[in-house]
Amino acid sequence: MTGEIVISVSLMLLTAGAFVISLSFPSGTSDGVPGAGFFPQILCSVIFILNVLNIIQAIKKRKAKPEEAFTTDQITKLKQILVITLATVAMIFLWGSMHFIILCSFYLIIFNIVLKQSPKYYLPGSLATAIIIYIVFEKILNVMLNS
Amino acid sequence: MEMVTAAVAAVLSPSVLFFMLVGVLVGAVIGALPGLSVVMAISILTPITFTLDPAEGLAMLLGVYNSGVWAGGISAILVNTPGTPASIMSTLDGYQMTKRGEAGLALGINTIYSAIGGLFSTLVLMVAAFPIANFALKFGPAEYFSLALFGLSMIICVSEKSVVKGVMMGCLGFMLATVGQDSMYAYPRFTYGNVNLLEGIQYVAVMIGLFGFGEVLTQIYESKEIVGLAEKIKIGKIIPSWKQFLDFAPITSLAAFIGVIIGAIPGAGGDIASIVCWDWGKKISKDKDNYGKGSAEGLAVTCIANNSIIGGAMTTMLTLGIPGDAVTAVLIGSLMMYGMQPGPMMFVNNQEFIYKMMVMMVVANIAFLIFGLLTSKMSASLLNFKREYVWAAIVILSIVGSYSVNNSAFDVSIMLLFGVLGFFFKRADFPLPPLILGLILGPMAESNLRRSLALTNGSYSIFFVNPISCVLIIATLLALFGPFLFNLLKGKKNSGDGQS
Repeated sequence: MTGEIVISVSLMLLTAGAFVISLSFPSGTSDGVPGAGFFPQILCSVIFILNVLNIIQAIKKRKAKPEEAFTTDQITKLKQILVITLATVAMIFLWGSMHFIILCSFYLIIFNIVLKQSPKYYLPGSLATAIIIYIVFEKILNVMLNS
Repeated sequence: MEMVTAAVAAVLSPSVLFFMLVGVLVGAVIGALPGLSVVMAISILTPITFTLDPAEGLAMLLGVYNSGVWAGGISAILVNTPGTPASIMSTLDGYQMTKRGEAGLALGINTIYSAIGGLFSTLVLMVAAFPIANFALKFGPAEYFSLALFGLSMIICVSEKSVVKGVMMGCLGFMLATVGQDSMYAYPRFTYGNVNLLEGIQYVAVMIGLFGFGEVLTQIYESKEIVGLAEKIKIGKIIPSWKQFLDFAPITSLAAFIGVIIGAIPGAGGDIASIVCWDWGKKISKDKDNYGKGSAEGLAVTCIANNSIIGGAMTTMLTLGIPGDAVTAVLIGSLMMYGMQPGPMMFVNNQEFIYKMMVMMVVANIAFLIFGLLTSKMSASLLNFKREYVWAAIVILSIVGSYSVNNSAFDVSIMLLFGVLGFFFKRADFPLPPLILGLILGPMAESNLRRSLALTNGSYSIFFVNPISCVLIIATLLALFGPFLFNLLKGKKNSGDGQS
């Protein structure tokens, strides 16, 4: 429920910002035909109102049923998710600066370390997967993985 | 007739058959593994198929779609865990049959009746698609705008618990679709000087993020220790007897028919079809006492309903450009990537391809029927795949797949962003299908709204004067506010009864 409220508040802030930006778009012609700003302005207003309704619903629900705290297991899993996300961000930044097979192997190794897998399987498995993906995408499907 | 013959010849070519079999195999694995969805598989495979010939690519995706829905029943039957939401009702009778030592028969019924359901619904698609498309060709901008709203309202109100959240996510999808150059005057919106955003947000990257990467994050968060799901299961005989076929015929025919209709309703998927059909079956069957206790007929009813929604959903998607379920929402994106816009104009511009898709549906059903019957005894081993390795494969395919759309790391960033957002949205019970649907339908809704208003000098009366548009607007309002009004009336009636 706290998550719902945080998401709704974030969306309200984003749509308020988007509404202000969309005021600078052409609003329409003199004969009533809407311009580029018309649709975003309506949508921003609707999203804002719906998020207000959602926050009210979430607060009512929270009063009826108090939220439980995170367990240790859930915190561990959130940390795993954070590391995987950061590893993906690093992969995007390093894309093209090193060979795809090396980058992909490192990424898969980190992924398996985070999920506490046995190195006996993931070390050869990561390298083999990276090579297979490279061959299939770069050589067969002509995707330029190293650009 | 010439086009049909050409379509059959094209689909039966070795390369198309090969990719269809690959699709059937992938669909079987993904469908059988609990938690991995057909939507996820198609989202990840879409960019991979981009470099293929459209017939080969679509053959693969339709193979995944048809076999994935069927294979969801395997884990439902063997370990009481539905592989896909559509197979939720198969656990009731299927798992009881497994406990009785009739796992083989349950798997056989699942395969045979899923294929019959799929073939029947394809027949309906073949018969109904052209008349519906001809009718839809009369649609103008006002009807298209109303249709886009109606499609979105249906998927919002049928698929999820909270209408407010569903509408909000649909509007958010519409809003994301406004990023990039506007459709009428090419005015750049929300691009912040980034050239990658001028073309708009890539829906393929968004759907891979939401249904691929984000789904893996959700599964990591929700995962529990599971060791060897299916180790020692007695399989036994597979094919049902001729007498059973004859006994089940009336009720399964009815279930197939209901399944097609439910499939054609935008937003109502296999889960709703199987629940409705099983419930109907339980009410009218001679064997109703055994429903839920291992009734072979009960299982046949749910299996035929699962797959019969596919033809219904495809009919709505191909003729009106409105998805019948989450999978067809993603398939619209796949077809658009090949330069085809689902809707009535596809029946004019890509008629040959429409025939190919119909033939592909038939072949996909026959392919998984043969594959399923031949591999029934091995299917238990499918469930022992180590999920961490499956997650790793999905994550890396999500990254490479989103990159391969435009050979751009920017699309990988979009995929990652929506993957993380998808995880948080899912944790907070915000439905994801309306978001992707809004993103796909957004340009159609906006451009047709503005065109309609341009035709009438800004008067909104065009949406109410036009009968088709008016009916669709009323249906949209009923879909959105109907449940609320119904509850309000029910509450008043109950309080009235209480007072008297």
